[in-house]
Amino acid sequence: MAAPNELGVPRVTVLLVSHDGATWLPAVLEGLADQTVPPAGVVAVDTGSKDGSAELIEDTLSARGVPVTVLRAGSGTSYPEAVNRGLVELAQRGEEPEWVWLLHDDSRPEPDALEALLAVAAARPDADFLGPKLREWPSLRRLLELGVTISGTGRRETGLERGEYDQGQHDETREVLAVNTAGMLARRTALEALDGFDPQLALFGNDIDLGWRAAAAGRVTLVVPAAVVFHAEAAHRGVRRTPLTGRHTHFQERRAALYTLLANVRPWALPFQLVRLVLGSLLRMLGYLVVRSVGEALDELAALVAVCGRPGAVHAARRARARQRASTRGDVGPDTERVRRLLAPWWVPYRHGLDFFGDLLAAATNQAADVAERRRAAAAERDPTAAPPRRVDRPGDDDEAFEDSGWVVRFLTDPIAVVVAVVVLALVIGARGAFGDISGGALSPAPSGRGTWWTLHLESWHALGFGSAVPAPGYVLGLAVLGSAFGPGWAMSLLLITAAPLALWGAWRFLRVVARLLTPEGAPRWLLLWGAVTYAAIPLAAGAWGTGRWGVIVGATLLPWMAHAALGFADPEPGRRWRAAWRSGLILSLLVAVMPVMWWLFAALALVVVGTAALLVRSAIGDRSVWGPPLAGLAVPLVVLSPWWLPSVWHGAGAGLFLEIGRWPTPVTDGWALFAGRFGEAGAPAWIGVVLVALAVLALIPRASRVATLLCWLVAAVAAVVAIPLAVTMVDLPGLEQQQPGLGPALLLLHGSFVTAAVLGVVGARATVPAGRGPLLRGLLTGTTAVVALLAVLVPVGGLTWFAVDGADQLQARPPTGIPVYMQQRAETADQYGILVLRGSIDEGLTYEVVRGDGATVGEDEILALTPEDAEVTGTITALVTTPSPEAVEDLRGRGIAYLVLPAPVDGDVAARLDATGGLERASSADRATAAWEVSDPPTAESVEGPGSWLRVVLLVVQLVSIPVLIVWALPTLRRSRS
Amino acid sequence: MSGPDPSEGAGRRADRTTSGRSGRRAQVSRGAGALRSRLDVLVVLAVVLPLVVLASVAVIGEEQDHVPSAAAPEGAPLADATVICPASVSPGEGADVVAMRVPEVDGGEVTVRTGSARLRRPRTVDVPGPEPVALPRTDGLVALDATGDAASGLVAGRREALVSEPCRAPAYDEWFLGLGGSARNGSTLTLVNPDDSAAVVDVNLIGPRGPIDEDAGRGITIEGGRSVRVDLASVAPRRADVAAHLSVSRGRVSMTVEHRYDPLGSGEATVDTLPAQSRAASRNLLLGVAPAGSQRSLYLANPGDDEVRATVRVMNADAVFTPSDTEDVVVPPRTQVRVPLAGIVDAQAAEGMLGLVVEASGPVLSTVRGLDRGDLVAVGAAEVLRAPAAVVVPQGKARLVVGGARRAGVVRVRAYDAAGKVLLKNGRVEIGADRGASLALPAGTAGITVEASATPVAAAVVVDSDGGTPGSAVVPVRPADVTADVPVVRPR
Repeated sequence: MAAPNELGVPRVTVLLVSHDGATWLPAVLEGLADQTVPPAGVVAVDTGSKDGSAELIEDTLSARGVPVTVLRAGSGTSYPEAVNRGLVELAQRGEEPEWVWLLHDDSRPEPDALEALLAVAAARPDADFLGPKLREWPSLRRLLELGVTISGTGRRETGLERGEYDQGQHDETREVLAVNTAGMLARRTALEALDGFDPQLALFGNDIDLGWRAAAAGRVTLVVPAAVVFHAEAAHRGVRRTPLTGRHTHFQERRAALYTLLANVRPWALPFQLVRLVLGSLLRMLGYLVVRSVGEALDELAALVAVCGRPGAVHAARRARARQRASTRGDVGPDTERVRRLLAPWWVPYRHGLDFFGDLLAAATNQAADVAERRRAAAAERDPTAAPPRRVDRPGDDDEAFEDSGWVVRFLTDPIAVVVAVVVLALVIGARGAFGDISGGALSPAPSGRGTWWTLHLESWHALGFGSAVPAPGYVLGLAVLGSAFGPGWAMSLLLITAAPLALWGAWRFLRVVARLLTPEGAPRWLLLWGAVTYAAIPLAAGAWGTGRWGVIVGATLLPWMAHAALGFADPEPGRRWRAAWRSGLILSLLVAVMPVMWWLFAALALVVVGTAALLVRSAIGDRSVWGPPLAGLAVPLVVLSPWWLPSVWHGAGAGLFLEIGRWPTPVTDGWALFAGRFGEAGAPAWIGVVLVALAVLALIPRASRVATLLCWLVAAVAAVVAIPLAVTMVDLPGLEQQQPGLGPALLLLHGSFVTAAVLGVVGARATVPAGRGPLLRGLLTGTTAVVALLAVLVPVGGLTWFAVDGADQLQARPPTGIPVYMQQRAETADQYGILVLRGSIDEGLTYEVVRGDGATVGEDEILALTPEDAEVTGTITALVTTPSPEAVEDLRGRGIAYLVLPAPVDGDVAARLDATGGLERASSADRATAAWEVSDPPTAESVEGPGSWLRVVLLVVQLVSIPVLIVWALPTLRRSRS
Repeated sequence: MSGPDPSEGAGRRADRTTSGRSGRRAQVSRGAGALRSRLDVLVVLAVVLPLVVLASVAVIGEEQDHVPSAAAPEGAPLADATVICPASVSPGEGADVVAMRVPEVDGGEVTVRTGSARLRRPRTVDVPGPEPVALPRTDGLVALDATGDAASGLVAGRREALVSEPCRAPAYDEWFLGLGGSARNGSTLTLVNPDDSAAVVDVNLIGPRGPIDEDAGRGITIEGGRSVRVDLASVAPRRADVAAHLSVSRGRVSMTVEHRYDPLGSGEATVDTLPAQSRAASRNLLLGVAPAGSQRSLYLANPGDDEVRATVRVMNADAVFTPSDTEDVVVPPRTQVRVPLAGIVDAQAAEGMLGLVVEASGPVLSTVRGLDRGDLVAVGAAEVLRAPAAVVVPQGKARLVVGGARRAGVVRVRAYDAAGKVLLKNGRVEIGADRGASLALPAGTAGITVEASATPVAAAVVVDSDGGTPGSAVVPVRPADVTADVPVVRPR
């Protein structure tokens, strides 16, 4: 081996740091020995290897004739210390090589790597640090790094796509902030001038820190793509564990990144950087939690605490850097222009966030879509003789591409798209009443304040009526979230207007997957369209809109999405089944919040289905991942809605678990109305609904789909049987009213099953159409089909037309209350200015009602109606209208009553007695037929205060924790390769 | 879906075609018998499941909306009572105001306030029972206030000859028919407020052609403890034949209407009170309408919004019958009509007449007003008595007229003189459905108690002049407040 200097080549000493690298070292050493420009010598620093790495280096290199010195250091030696040891050794030996080539024990240089580096070093004498192109070991062609920089959030930026292949696209020598220490060719004097690597950065991130410092000192770092080094990244990937990496490589990497940023940013940017890092770390934690990487989320937090918890270290590092700069650059200060140019652009973190969010959304929406595919794939795996599972794309299927035309042309030439647009338009026209304030039937006006729903949800004692501990309905939290974004009025409008189009979309997705479960071809788009529109029309044609049953309308939207999620129970993979459980459980929680009876229906359904499955497939009982997910899905609403149902039960409002939401009483629904899919007298003509039932019966004929249609009928039968006790009982509400338990869910499930059965029947029938029968039979079949199809089209068209024309007539803006306006306005200023409204007469009985704030609004009706009657209050009011006394008035004042109103027609007897009562003063009213009084002393704020409940706080915490946890569990796993 | 499956052949082939890819192994692996039994189960299910749905729907069947029923009030001991007597129609004649009670109630002390336009000088008078007690003599207003046990069953009246002037509790909503605002027929409203705070009354008039819009009758304020007299001529000048609807919008007021008929030179003016009507009904019984008299008219008022047709029938001691040749009276909505009585009841039908029955297709109010030997007499619809009642009888020759029974029964009458002495201990009147009856009362009767057994009845006292000025008066027997109504109060 000739001395390099003699050939005009600068003297290079290799500095190889190893730790338990025997796996890779043979190849590394071979690559080292094969260099076309041999180094002057090798100084290897082994940090306590137990696998004979040190000996391996010594023996191999000696055998190849490379001068080698192996230094043995303790296993706790950090990388900066090891490099220092090497430099010190060189200094002690009096060797002063111009260049030091740093190599790791898992980085194998190509034979011409050093040559290429030295060539560039010769061409660019200003360069002090040069790095090779790092490629993945052993896949060989994947790029790892071509120089690195750091983003404002501390992310190591390589500027490469994930797993990008090296096709020479980056082969350009350019200046970078830093290069990896694996293969870094460093000018020895520069390295020494920068005091080597920062010992605070034991293993990770020290290269970026060095590069940053070098750039700040005005030194040039170049990446030389002509030089190639293969790198296993053993420590980063967690393949190699050392006392330095610990078990948490992510923690070490983040700590290094945070430290690097804080130690090197310019002084004025430090506070801003600190705030940004704290917020960014929390956001990243959230991101890790969303993809269920709890360990990494905790590492993130720990790294933040580790760096921020030791401000002294950062301070010392910053002073050291300042000193260093002063010694090399004097008063010039850091080379900020160079650093700014080489740091990652400001928008990089945001682009990563957007990418992450997009990936997550795509994965979440496609979770259940391909359950049919996966079942077939699993079946094929079990039985390879079966045909390969493949979806057959027919012409006209939704993957059809019109690549050459614009979207307008594509839209107009697609009849299905045009029909969908017309239907959505009809739905919005029918829902026109919801643009603006709306109420009527079971729907109360929306509250005026954004905070009302939050207060209602969080408080354990409501200043409603004479005070109530009955909890807010389960849906109030959802409305509060929506209302915070849009305002309560618009939140309700948005819910009602978008409900039917969303139901259409959900039904389409559900029916598509169900049809694919049946046959690989699935259902044609026109059939899906029919099914989806028919389903979306069910609640509207039933009269849910006209009677203000907004729970049914919103529930009808959620039901197909929930059913779609529940299809995941049929997934061949247990993990996906569990995820389907959390997902469907979450949607079920929303569903149960707006339709409490839905839970009982699904409980019955789960019992029947799991029971039947256990009878038919005995092995299923042993497998917890078969029956577990459906039951877990059922349990989710119990946890998520615990702040609603548990307190309801112990405050005597358990009846709410069986009722529909909204203002009661609503007209009863009898058996035949249920059969025809109508709420009592409301709704489109009943015979249209009966046509759907007939279609569902016809759907039982095609044999190919009979099992599937029977399953639909099973669901329908369960819904019908559960509906019996619900329909024939009446729930006594406080006062004189009675309310039939909610039949809306049963109606939806019943007719939803009919729609599904009809769609499946057609799918089965299409598969059954005889090919070569006589013309007579074919003609007969065609004729029958035409008649049935015509009838079938009538169902959605009739329902929608009825809805668009006069479906919403009963709804209106706020109805008049008979209360003088000034009282109403005063009542809105504070809860204690309650208005006691007495209606009726002595002969026919009196009813009382308390109006507080802006009256009974959405979310408050159920609380008011389910609060048990307070006998004391009734007694006080009875006394007031028979033998009034100042004491009775004082009692009412103590309960937060500021006004008394007798709307017309007034019972003069009552009015005269109130006139004669001390403590009450006659108040004016615009309507002379209305009598009104004011309590002389206004009530105090304490009069409407009630006891708090720790239990509610606990339940709210449970809810607060369970919802994000369940969302995280329900989200798909994102497999992201680390760059 | 019962019977053999029509598409079975096609279905089986379909099974084969679709199972070409995925279903074959199922068929291969199982025997033909197992396959058939599986298919059979499917067919059975295809029949059973729809039937389950149908059966469930049938079980639910018809469901009716729950209609909350009106809750009748409960009785409770009366806590307080107020009875107000208007001022004397013809002052200076020295007619006593007499107080008494219905039978079988506790007595007690009653506070009496008197005054001409303002109630003052409260005194207490003990009214122990049915025996009449004379109150301090005055021609002005008299107000009786009683509380606790002394409140129940309190009745009072002024014994002014030829005048029907019972004292009444404050009311809130009353009708008076046959009013006038002219020189010949002039009506005056007397509004008395017994309480300390002010009261407000609205007077709405309706005439033969519908409501009369007069602002002067709106919001008449009566200060506490005072009375206000309103001449109808000032509210509705030159109007004749109107009905007045008095409604109290604030406080408590006792309302009386005096009517003055002035023949304008051809004789002496005559004054009487008009009967108050609290509510319209489709069957009105006017007890004590005399068989003879002059200028007698039947006033019918329809407060509702629908036209009402009324038939006038005659009641005597034997039956209630419709006189021949009478036509139905049509009362348009919100009007009062006047029908000459002579046109309805001819002399033959009037023979032995005890009263009139007005049967209408909807709720109406009715009053007969006319002259008996030159004296003004007005008779309103009688109120049904369901409990023992009492009435103060004016000076004169009195007889009790009863009617309106639902079934056969007996009415027991006890008569007292002004000193509280029993004149008639056990008067009996037998009564039946669809007929009336009468009983002559002893001379000097100042008050009677009336108790019907087995049936509710209506009653009135007809008093003829006992010498002096000829004429008569009809005093209705009204139910007295014995208990208080406690309404059923419910949250809404």
